[in-house]
Amino acid sequence: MSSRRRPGRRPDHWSSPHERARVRAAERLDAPLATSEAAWLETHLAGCPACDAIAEAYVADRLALRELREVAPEPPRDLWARTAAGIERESATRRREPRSAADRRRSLPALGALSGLAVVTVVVIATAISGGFLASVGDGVATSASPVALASQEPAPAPTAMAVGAGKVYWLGAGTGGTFAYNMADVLAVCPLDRQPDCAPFADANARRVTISAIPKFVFQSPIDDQAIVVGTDAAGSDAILVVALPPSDPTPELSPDPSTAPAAGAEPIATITPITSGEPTVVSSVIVSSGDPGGSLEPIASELISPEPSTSAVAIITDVIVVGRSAAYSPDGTWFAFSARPADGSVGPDIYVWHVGDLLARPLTTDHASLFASWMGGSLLGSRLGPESVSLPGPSPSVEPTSEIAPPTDVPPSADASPPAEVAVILEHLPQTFMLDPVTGAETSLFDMDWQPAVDPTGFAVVAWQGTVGLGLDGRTAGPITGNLVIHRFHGPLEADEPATSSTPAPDVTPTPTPEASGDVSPSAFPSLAVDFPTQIVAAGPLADFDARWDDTGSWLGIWIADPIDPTIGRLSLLHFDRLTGLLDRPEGAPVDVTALPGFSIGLGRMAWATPPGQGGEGSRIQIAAWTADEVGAIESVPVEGAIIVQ
Amino acid sequence: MSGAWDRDEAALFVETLFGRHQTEIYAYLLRMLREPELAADLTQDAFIKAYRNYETLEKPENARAWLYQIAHRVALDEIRRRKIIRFLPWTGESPGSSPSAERLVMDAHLSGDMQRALSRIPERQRAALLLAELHDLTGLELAAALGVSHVAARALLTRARESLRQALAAERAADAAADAPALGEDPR
Repeated sequence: MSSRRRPGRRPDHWSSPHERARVRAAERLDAPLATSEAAWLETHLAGCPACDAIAEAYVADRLALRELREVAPEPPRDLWARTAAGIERESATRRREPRSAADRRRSLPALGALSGLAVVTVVVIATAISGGFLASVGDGVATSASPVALASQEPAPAPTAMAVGAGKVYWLGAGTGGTFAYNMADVLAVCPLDRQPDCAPFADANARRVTISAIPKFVFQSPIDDQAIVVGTDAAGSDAILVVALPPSDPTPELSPDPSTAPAAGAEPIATITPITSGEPTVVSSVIVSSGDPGGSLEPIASELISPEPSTSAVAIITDVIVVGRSAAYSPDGTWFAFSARPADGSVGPDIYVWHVGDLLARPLTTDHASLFASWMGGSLLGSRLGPESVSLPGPSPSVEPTSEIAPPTDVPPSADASPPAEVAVILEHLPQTFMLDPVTGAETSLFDMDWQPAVDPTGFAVVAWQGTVGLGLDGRTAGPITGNLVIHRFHGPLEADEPATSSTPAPDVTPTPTPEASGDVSPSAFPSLAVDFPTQIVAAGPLADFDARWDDTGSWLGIWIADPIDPTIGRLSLLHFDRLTGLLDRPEGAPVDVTALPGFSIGLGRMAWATPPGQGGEGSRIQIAAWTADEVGAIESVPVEGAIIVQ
Repeated sequence: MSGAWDRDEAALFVETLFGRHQTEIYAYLLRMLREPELAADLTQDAFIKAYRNYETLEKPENARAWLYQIAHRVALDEIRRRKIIRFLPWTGESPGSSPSAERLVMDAHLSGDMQRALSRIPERQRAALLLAELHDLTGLELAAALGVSHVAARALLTRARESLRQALAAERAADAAADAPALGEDPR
């Protein structure tokens, strides 16, 4: 059971007592109501003839419906013969296949090829790693129990790097004089789990120095241009969101013979790692221009906050808010940025905001002060809010403070009854409501699945979400999962739609074609055939304090971050493979499982990157990268980085 | 059921399932789609998919709900594919045959207010009502069949009851209006 609790029942939860009576009258046909609720219902029905008539109608309609039982249609007599023939054909087809379904599930799709669809620049570099950092000896800094191993102190034998598709990883680190270093690495090779000593840690190199007069919390890289969005906190504790135009990165980084000797972190230009000869692929930490103002004084949020160089500016698209949740993201086409925020003064709960690239300010899409952005689905946003009350249970004192926030669906601030004695506190569990929003018009469409914070894969076929109940915390603003599980299931689209939200839901035995809007710039042919049926699978069993689920660009890989129940500023991160042929999840050998990670990670283009918590003795975080091919998963990590934040 | 995919084991298992559940699966699909031949075809599809996805069945005791889940998705896929958002007109027997007495009785049943009302509500709600009230799926089985959580299935069922009530009221009002003499019409 989660820690969320709320004292007493919110009288404003139901739109009216009649609605409450109608729902309860229907519910009691399927399961007994709680004693108190049953008593309330009887009392209400006694004084409300219209409600009583509806309750009686439910019973009568049920009886009428059950009369259809009297007719039991018989299937055609030849149905088994037809079915058996179909099974035989199916079996014959499978015999001709070189691999079984189980084998396919264990196998990995050819993501190296798929990564060619990336929106980032692809740099194919095949080179000898002689002198490169795969061959070098690491710095011997201790690491955690993570499967991502550091370079060994022992001399490594011949390096056995594992080539992966090209794709860049960005991160922010603390620089000198209050500045920050914006780093990028092209990771072209990693080391398999059993040969981790061959991969010495890489370093940020020639990092571009930027000055940010706020404490960065999350950073997002535009998928289409050299622009970043920084969510930061100012000295007063309010958040602002800044759009930073980044100067072009240096396409011709210099050579570094031994990256393992590079400084740990910082904004000062350091040796750059670039392969220069042919041969085996290697890991490359390429470079972004370094230039900037080392002064880094605090400035008003709305002013120019980041000044990496004179031509680079930062624009605040919203200030004086608290950014809520971990789901902020660019749209797949890079033209929108969505997030959830509430006023810094705490007067109301959060709303969903969007910023259109080129606009001066972000604007709210919802006004109920109770909505959270969940994820993008093509060109639409998915959001969630508290839905109907499900059940009330005695609540223990909270041991976990939730990390996502949501307000009650009214403008009424938390009432005075929000702090009763703990012994009488109850948890009010709600069913989540999930909806889809048009970023242009704000038009809202209810979704069928009662999910909390759904993350839909790029083809609109599968979704990872919390299924169960959600509730508010004592502050009346904070919501999160209570009972249930984080699951993956088939995405069903709008609630009352004649058609699913995307056309990717396959007809039987038909390979679907993802909608262009759902797949962004990615060609539909990039997606493997989809399973027609797949079971709902538990990704992480509840209770959970908080989570962050993100798909890669192919819809075949999932990063799942689960907040630590004691300290939600850290969590456990896992990489899962979703087999689109069978609809089943698996954990390929070598993939990170429950590695300790700070909030915020990036996934896509055949790799997942995250930052570890700072180490013991003042050592900085490390950037860890898992990358995969069709056959295996490998990993590599950086030298310690002060104040590391992964750019998502 | 996980592990290596054994064709013979799967075929035997599906044959057993067919013997036990073919009638109810066929009935469910017929009630969803109202077309006997289509229901038969989809029943066949459902069992072939059960064979194909045999390894996804984790516990044999859940086979019935698992089978309904497959049948439910087959039905929804067919509805989407054919853009059937209402019950198809009842066609009776396949061409060349005479409708049986049983089917005439069923036709009469299915053509009433209830069937028309069912045809007016969203298919997922209709599925929830049919599975809960006519096929006796428990709460957990219903959730599994619909591919949603237990609480979501309950909520769906609650919405379905209200939708059915309104749809039945509309049907009855339409019947009453049809039976009433038109305005100005001489009742003689």
